[in-house]
Amino acid sequence: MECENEFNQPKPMMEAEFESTRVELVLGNECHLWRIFWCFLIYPKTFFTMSWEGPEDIYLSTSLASYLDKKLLVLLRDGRKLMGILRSFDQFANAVLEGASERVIVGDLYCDIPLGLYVIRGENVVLIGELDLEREELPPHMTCVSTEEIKRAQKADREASDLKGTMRKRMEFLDLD
Amino acid sequence: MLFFSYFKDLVGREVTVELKNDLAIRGTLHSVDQYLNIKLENTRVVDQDKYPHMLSVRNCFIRGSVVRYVQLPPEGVDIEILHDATRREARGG
Repeated sequence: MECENEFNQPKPMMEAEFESTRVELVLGNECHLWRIFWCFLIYPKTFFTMSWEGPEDIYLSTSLASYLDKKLLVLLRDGRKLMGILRSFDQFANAVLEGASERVIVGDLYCDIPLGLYVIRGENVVLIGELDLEREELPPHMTCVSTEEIKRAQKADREASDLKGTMRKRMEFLDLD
Repeated sequence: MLFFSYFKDLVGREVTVELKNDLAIRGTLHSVDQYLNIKLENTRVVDQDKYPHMLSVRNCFIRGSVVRYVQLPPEGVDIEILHDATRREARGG
């Protein structure tokens, strides 16, 4: 019996407490004002959301909120391309990607290397793009290859560009430009 | 805050954003914030063949710190208004 009472009672009590809070707020009860103040310090966003930002407004603002739980492409300053589901972000564009993978593209070859959960520091973010799931992610002529294969291709590509660089350097005395 | 207000007036217009990594993206300006972060809609990359990974990106968020230029529609630039606003701001109004 006691147990049942405990289960039944909290709801009406909470409502009563809420009512009294409101009444005391009007009366200017200091204790409750402090409580509200601390709530504001801890959860400022809740207050702003409650007061003037309706849930549909996130689609009008520049905030990343409209991209939450969507599959995104994050372009980083070093040229890397990460893909994953956005789970969290802040005003610096720090972001948490779940199920992240890096898409490595070398010529017509590409590979998605799985990474896991990634926290990205905002300063490294160039662009965050929403992936349109109905469209092809890549042009049809590109082929998916294994991790080893893409690493080999990457290495060959780097060596080719290095060689190009040294050749240019060696020919510099000719003053080609 | 002047350019923030200025870009806010351009919302809905077609702009081209050129980034510091030379990637240029054209799209409809969806929104701007105080850091001049930009959100674009119906984006397409100017040099699509060079950036195949951008093919399926329709909407994107660009961090303000990586933007080099924003190319505006010619009718979107009213020098007179901008000039006045600058002087007003300089006077501290």
